Amino acid sequence: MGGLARRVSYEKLFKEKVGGIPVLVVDSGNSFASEGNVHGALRPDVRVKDGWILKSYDDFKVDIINVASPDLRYVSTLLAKPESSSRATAQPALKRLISANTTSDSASAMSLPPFILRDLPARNAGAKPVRVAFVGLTEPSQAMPRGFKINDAVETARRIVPEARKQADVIIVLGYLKAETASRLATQVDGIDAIIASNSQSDGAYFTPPLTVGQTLILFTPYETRMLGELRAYREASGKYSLRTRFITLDETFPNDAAATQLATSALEAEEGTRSQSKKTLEGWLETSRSAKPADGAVAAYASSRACAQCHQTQYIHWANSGHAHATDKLPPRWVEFETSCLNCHATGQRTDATGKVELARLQSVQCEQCHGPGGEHVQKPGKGYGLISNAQALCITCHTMEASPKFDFQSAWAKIKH
Amino acid sequence: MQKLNTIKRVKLAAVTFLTVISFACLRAEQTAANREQEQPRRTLEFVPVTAPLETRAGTDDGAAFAIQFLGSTHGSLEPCG
Repeated sequence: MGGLARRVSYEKLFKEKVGGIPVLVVDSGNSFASEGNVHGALRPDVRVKDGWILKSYDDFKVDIINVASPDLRYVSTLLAKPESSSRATAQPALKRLISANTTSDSASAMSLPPFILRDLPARNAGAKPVRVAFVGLTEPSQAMPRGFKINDAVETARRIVPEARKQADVIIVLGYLKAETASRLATQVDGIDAIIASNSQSDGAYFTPPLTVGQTLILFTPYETRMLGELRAYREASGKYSLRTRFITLDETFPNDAAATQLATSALEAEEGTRSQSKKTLEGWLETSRSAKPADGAVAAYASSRACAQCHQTQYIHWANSGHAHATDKLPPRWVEFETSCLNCHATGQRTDATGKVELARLQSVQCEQCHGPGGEHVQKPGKGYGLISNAQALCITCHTMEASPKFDFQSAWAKIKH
Repeated sequence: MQKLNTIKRVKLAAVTFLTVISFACLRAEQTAANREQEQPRRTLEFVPVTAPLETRAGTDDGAAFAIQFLGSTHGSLEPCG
């Protein structure tokens, strides 16, 4: 059940049968994939997949997209200035993202609007259009991208909803919210007509029935949108709107829309292609780095730890028993997460030139020269002055970052490897 | 004889009374049922999967607008089953 191609098919049916009813399509969030690598960053295939999700929001228009906290892993990568404005031109869906309680402490990240207003044409000639405000809210999640913070949803709504209410006839909250948070919002914040919440986490309980708390209707999106929700609003004589909800099961009797099927197929191919590329790149690098030799007659920039061992045996033995000596061993089991940037810290000698071109690491694992610098010439002409490190801590934390090594403690780590 | 007639009259009155009450109750139930049927809208509707496809978008019931909502798709564009 569910799926983009069936949803699009329903939208076409709606247009054909009841096309006189003005309609908007909204997403309450938790809609991007968020599987991360061991260090918490998005996996390369997941980034590609999410790119296609974003494209689908433009190709098969979704009018408002709430950014849930799990979505931030991907969305945060799109908000970095100054590229964010050119990205938004290329992918207009970025201008339809909302979140009222997500904040970034970085001035270099574009912030998301707390709400978006949409005018829907009135059905009676001469009447004013209906203005609907969509407010975005999310629960926090454990793994938040660096610099982003989720504020309390109820506190935020108390501030934002009255502001939106001044400008709109109807207020709808789109939220990645637990049922109890949605109920608190309905009880403690005046003026919300409906809350549409993504809270379903399992196949076992894929439908949560709607409920009304005070004057607010609370709706939950079924798990993985196996049913499409449809909220219909009716203008009463009092000028207020009464609401009715329909749930349409997107089962196999809905034909798959051809263009949407094509997009989903291309997305799947791109995702699988990225995974095969990760595997191929890693295997290729392991092969070349095993037999890395300089061109005939040339002095290798990197000599390898075995060359260092000719004179520095004690240090070599110390190093050979450290985690650094096995840093590359971590890569093959996690080939699906692999991208060449892994080699910045799991190998030796990766360099990026001034133009941004990356020269791949020549040696496996974190060998002596990863910290002390290329030693080829020193091996040729041994002498003092090579490899001095002025600030060991600053050097270590280039790889042992908060994300990559959250438990890293310089003093205890240094005590283990000091040589 | 007169006593017998009085008893018959009382019985007739009782039966008539009960009949009137029963009809009144039945009428009241029917009126409520009719009111239910006449309600223009239910607040919640599950469109049955057995309904013919062309009827699943419902009818134009005078709604001022509609919001179609989705979420929790976890990055999947694919149908599942």
